[in-house]
Amino acid sequence: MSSSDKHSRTLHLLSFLSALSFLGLLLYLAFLQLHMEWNWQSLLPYWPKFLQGLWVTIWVSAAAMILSLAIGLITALIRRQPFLPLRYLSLIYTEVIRGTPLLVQILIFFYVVADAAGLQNRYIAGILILSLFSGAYLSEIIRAGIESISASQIESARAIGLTPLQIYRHVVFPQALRQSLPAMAGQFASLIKDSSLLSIISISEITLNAQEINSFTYSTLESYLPLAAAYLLLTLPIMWWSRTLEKQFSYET
Amino acid sequence: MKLELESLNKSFSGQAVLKDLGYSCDSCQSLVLLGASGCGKSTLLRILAGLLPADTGYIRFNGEVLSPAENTLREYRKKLGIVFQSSNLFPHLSAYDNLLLPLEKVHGYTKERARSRIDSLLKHFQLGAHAYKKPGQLSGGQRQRIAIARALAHEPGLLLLDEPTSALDPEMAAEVLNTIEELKKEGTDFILVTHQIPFARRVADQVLFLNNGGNHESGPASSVLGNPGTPLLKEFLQRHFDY
Repeated sequence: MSSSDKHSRTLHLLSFLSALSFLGLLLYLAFLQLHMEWNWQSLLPYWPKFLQGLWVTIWVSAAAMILSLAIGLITALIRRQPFLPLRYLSLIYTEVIRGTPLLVQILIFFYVVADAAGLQNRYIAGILILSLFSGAYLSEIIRAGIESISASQIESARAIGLTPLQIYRHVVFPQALRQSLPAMAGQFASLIKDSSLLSIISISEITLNAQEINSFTYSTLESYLPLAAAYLLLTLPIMWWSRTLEKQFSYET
Repeated sequence: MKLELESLNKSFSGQAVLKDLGYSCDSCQSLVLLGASGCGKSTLLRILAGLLPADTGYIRFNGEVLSPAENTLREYRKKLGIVFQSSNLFPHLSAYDNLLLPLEKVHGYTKERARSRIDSLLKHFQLGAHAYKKPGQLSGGQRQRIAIARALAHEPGLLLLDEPTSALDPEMAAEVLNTIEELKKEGTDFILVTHQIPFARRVADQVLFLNNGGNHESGPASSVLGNPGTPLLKEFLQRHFDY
């Protein structure tokens, strides 16, 4: 590492720390105005409940990530096949899901669709709703990735004798996935935060548990500040990863 | 090769690009397609490459009629090597993997057999040092030579080249043209679209000069290029010598 590299790294670290302390100071002054009487003690018995909620948030989000990736991939491919009714089905799905609030989707899916289908388990229903919601966004991200592969590359792939399936497998997908990985990582971070809305159908994820702790202890901020920290703990690494990927790909091209 | 084209027609959304094109050569090693931009030569090359079906007409290649069904066209393409103007190589694969992909997935080579074939090709084209670079790390001339190596890797019966140097600067173009001239000496059959008339003179056995989607003048290179029979070709050759 050269000395100028070191210099700029120190500069970045200092700038980051000063920005962070500036925001911290603002927040501190706001709390000072409030004359808060902190009562962290009352929270102590509820830590296990908090951690339980965190665990539920993690596995519900993880399951929804995997399922939404499958949904996004399939609907993106359907948008590219020749049978028009299927193509429109996929189009309507992505537009309706992306154009309506998740809250409304959860209520309609849980109280109408899941009920009619006899789906009793609210956790499975919650994972399904979250996957359908996130899948619509991933579908658009993946479709954009696929469409970024130029027609001349497809022609070149046909010219060397690859079958359509082989063209997808060896030429389109590896490049489309690399292209869309940063955006996909961002979508995954959103999914983790969006899972908080599942609290309205009584899924004991971390937000619902924080709400309950609040109603037991009447310590609102003491319940919600750790909640915010927990979400940051989950989303920050994903967003950092997304940013690294972005840098990596811009360097390659 | 023996090539016969009979009243080929092709149009794109109502616009006729090839009109009643006929041509034949009996035993030619190299055929060069000439003509102004938009005369249909790239379309003709794509049809000859089995990438596009003609609307009507016949192509007989070494006596066999080319069927327009995609499955048969793919089998036919496997026997050819095709090089385009640019964007031949897949940017996410190294030069080596670009050569490996068709050998392994299309032609069923084992890893070992493919490796020895690729190694000898890269050595032949003096590209051995660049085997593990991605296309983005290679110069335009190196990329085109890798593309030619890939087109030759499965020992095709015929090589098709669509203006392989038009996207390159003169120095890199010379690099690629020398490679093609080598192929000519080695006896490889090829069909070439080019704007480089001096180069066409060096490598062409046969010339087909297209105008407005039809065969305007064709025949042995020495007579067609040495003594053009139509004013249009005469003018075309003069214009291209000036540059």
